Amino acid sequence: MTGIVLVTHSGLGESLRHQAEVILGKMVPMTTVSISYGADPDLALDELIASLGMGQDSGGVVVLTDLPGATPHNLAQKAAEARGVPVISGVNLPMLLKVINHADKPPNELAAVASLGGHQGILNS
Amino acid sequence: MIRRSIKLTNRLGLHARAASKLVQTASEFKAEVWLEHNARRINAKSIMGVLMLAAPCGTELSMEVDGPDEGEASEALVRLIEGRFGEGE
Repeated sequence: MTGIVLVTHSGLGESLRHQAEVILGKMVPMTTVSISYGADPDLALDELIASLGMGQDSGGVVVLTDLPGATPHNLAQKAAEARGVPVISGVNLPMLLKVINHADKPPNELAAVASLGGHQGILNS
Repeated sequence: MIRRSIKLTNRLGLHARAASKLVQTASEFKAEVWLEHNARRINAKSIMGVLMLAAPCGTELSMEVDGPDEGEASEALVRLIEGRFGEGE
């Protein structure tokens, strides 16, 4: 199984995780890292590196972030770079549900699935 | 291959939790399961696919089940849908 790490602005990741668990009717193993506006970037980076390290012990990990260019994403990108971990930005509930349902895929494949799921959930109807 | 149509009778239709139960049930079987509504045909083992059907109460879904355990799969799915996904109404 590929580990899922959600790196978002304050509280968003926890909220997404909660809604996914309600919809799927089960607990979903994933790590959420919340970066508050006043957070020390160096400490946050250390926390992120540790989170990715835990995920790496199993079948690898993918990182989902909320907003490209924002601090949570930039720090995640920095932490992931050294380990070759894929980072996918723009997380939404469709992306998260898709990733959870396909977590048996290896990280790079799961990253492609995540991107597809995120796009699938955007309709202009 | 089994083909049949089935009507959604639960008040909220194929909403998120119902879709999730449908996917979980379909995924218990080897058979492929396809659902069709409004000319959209989707894999019933895909949560996003099922949600994209956006099927409300009263919708008549076409279901196609194909595989070694298609009979059991079809029965389980019909049971789930006719049982209103375990919802009261």
